[in-house]
Amino acid sequence: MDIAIRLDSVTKTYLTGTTQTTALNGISMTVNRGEMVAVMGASGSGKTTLMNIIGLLDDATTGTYLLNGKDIGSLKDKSKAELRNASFGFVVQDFALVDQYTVKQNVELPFTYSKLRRSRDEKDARIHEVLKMLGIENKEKERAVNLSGGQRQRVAIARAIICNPDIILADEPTGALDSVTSSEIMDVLAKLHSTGKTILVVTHDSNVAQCCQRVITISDGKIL
Amino acid sequence: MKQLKYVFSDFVRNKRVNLFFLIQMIVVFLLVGLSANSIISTMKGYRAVAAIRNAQAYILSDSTSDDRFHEIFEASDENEPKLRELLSFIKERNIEKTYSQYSYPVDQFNGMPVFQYTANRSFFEVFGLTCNQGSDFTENDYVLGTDGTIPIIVGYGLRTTYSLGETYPIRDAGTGMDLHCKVIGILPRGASFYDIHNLSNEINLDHSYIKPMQDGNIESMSFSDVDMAISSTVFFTNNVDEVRSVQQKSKELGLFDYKVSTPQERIQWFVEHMKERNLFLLSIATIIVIFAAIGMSANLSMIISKNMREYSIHILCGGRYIDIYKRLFMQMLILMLIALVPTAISIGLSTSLFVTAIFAVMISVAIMTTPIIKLYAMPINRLLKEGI
Ligand SMILES: Nc1ncnc2c1ncn2[C@@H]1O[C@H](COP(=O)(O)OP(=O)(O)OP(=O)(O)O)[C@@H](O)[C@H]1O
Ligand SMILES: [Mg+2]
Repeated sequence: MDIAIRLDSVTKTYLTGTTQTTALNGISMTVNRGEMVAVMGASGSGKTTLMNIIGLLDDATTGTYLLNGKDIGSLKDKSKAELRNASFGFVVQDFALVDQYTVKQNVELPFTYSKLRRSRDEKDARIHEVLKMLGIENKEKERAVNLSGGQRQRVAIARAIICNPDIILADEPTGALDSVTSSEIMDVLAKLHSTGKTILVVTHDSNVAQCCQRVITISDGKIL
Repeated sequence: MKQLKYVFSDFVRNKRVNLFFLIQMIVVFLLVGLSANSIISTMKGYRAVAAIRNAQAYILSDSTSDDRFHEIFEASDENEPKLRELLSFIKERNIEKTYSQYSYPVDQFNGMPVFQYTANRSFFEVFGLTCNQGSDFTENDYVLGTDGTIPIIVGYGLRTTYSLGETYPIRDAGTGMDLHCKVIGILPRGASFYDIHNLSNEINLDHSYIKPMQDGNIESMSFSDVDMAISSTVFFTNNVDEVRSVQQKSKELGLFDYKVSTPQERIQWFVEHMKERNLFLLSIATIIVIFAAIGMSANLSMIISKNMREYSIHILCGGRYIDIYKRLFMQMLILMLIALVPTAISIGLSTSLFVTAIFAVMISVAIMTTPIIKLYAMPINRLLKEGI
């Protein structure tokens, strides 16, 4: 099977002032293409740090990271940003929407940074397609701030998949939602998984973890 | 250019902060522009009178008491011939050359007053004035002609009112006589000279026309013509006694009390005066600029921290720090250009505006440095943490 993500002895230490924090302490793992994996662990165990490194938002201190077989250690900032745009979709606990933008403006933001040139019509069609898939096609012109939590997370997911990335990184996507809405959002992620997306979900919720094929548990920056 | 759309959306969303920022910029640029303007015009005035400054020359400053002045004016009928005698006396002195002019407002042109100047040879020479269409006055033009036509040179702004080569009936403002004036030359746009008694006064000639002060014409000059001609006279000579004899002659005739001084004294006084004024302006401007710069810097930090979340979301979607910088630069550039408009309007498209624009770029770079370094030093994950 194709390996999408491969980490070998990855560590991450943060230096704040004179104190060193080891957030990740020798992580080795692989995630296959098309797999849906849950990442669990206590608060402060290093889950977000791991997701940031996988999502090219942060650099590992030591160790190697192969994305689709390619070492990303040697990549320049520009290439990393391009990969963030084209290969990853991010979903986070507090949705990360710009409140004052409309749903459409939020969802089309990745187009701004995309290397692919799309006509206005192509963009509009894609936005409509994605919003429809998430059942919020009638909210296009609404400001993000006026939506419910579940609707906002749908907007965030729409934005995450607008450029059709292979991998979705969801950091506690249901952390701010009630249980009914949570299961709706997990259904959406499961549906995306069924279309072949590779999905990593950080969660504290065992119900969420149950939707995944595999669970990785982290404790003090190590995989148990 | 993609960031431009977000710059405008920021203007719309954060109206108040951006407006406040803009107002600070406007105030600062206006102050800098006006200071630069004052300094540059002082320097220009100083340079423009180089011919007088570097020559051995004298002027007659009027030190007549107000009462005496009134008496002379009251009896102008009686004093007019005496004044003419004095002017003739001046012309007869063994003086290398004299510079002299007088003028009257005579008309309106698009709301601007039109001035009728009468000037002698040295007026053009001293201020380097020369026509760029038609021709300058020649020696003959300063000699009273017989055909009754008087040549005139016209300022740029009146070039269509008084066309080159045409003859116009013009009333002499000093004497009220009707003249026939033929336009022989047009001055370039912005041609100007400086009032020798007040060098900060640059006198633009765009809405003026000039007729020659003709040698044999003293008899037809009016009282005030002669008065202005004498008081504007600069005597270029090595021989101060000749000038003192004019002073003496005036006293003998029972006319004005003149003091013989040098233009250098006036220039020195002017330079000192302007130095004080400019120093005052500069220190006020400096203080305000320092405070405003601190304010603007804080304001920019506020704009950035307000937008931190938005920036981090952009980065999540594939943006980079450089995109944020581009956006900030564009935002500054647009605000800067708008803020320069009031300065441009008040001082015109001049060297001072250019200086102000350079200053604007410098201060913008200066106030952007801190926030940008702060942003640069912040790893993406910290930015995301603070933003999201
Ligand atoms: N930018 C940073 N600077 C310093 N320390 C950091 C930074 N980011 C994370 N840490 C530290 O690294 C450790 C792991 O943090 P991380 O956010 O990855 O934990 P987490 O598992 O996501 O926790 P939570 O479940 O609360 O989200 C923590 O001790 C945290 O304090
Ligand atoms: Mg976390």
